[in-house]
Amino acid sequence: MSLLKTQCAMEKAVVDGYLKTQCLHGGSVTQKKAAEEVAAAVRDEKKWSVLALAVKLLEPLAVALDVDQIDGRGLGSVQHHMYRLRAHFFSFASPPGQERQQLKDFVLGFFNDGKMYAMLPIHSLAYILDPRYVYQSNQPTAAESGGAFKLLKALEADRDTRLALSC
Amino acid sequence: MKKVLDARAERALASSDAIVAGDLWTDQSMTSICNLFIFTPNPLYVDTCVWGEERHSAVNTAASFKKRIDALGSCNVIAFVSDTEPKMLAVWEILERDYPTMIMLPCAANCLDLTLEDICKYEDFRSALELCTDTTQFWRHRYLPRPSWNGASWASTETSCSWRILERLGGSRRCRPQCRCSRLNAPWRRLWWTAT
Repeated sequence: MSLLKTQCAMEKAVVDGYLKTQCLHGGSVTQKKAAEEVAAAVRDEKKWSVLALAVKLLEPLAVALDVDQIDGRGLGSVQHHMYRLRAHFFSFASPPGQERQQLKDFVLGFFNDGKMYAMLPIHSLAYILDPRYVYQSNQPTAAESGGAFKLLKALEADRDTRLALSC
Repeated sequence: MKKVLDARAERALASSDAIVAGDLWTDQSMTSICNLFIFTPNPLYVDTCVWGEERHSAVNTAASFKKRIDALGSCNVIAFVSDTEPKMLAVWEILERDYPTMIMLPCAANCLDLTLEDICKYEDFRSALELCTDTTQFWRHRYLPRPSWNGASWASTETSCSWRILERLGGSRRCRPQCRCSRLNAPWRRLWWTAT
């Protein structure tokens, strides 16, 4: 809705007011040409529809980013957000066409790359132990669980950890 | 304000709930700077270190963090968060060796931010986003269609900011002359110069 409002405001701005009086009807040839190009760019419906698509596609990512930055605790939530994002990107209904699969592959490719850097066994372990996610349908894969339990065993066996926990 | 921050830091340390994090950057004079954070139940900024050496290295970065961690009491610090650039991974190795009970964590927000940035490189999105950023940069400085716009919520990371721009082009906050003409693409740049 806010994007639509902005589009209306921008389109209005390039056909009247400041731009018209000071650029389109006045100034140099270069100024007029630049103003016309800008007006054409703002009136380009295709760009606005792409922007609407991008907003829809990226909103959960921006929300996850905001939530992660507000709440510095709760490691399990990282895994939780990754599940939600993967589901969103996987099921995202982009407009039909040749580029549909291309967009999906592009997005999922970068998402998987980001996930590879963001996720460690500690995240899976925190997710498994976090009571908020016990009954979630998304659960770590066998490989992720294996890594998590390996870490748990290592922590359990580590003398320094025991010492730290007993402090 | 300092008292409030100190009290919050003390509470986090008393409950062994502090996480140390940091970010390396270089200013325009090529001074190596490190922002050091303590994450408590609510994130808390604590310190900025200016490097004596010309460059950040894994060794001098780790030494700087170790100094802070030791000052906080290493048994009070449970984790270390940073981005995952190769130098910081080397710092992790040093810290893991010296503080075996401390957990090294990649910054999830940074990874998500980079993912967002990468997705925005999709050709169609990129050109449409240029329209957004140019429009916003241009109009923010010129006070024009502002009444019709909602307030932009500028998130703390640059790419997240792109999304916010996308969502609500412009802003109702008082425009500040922070527009950089060099950031604009043609024809906005030409219009910038001719309309100035």
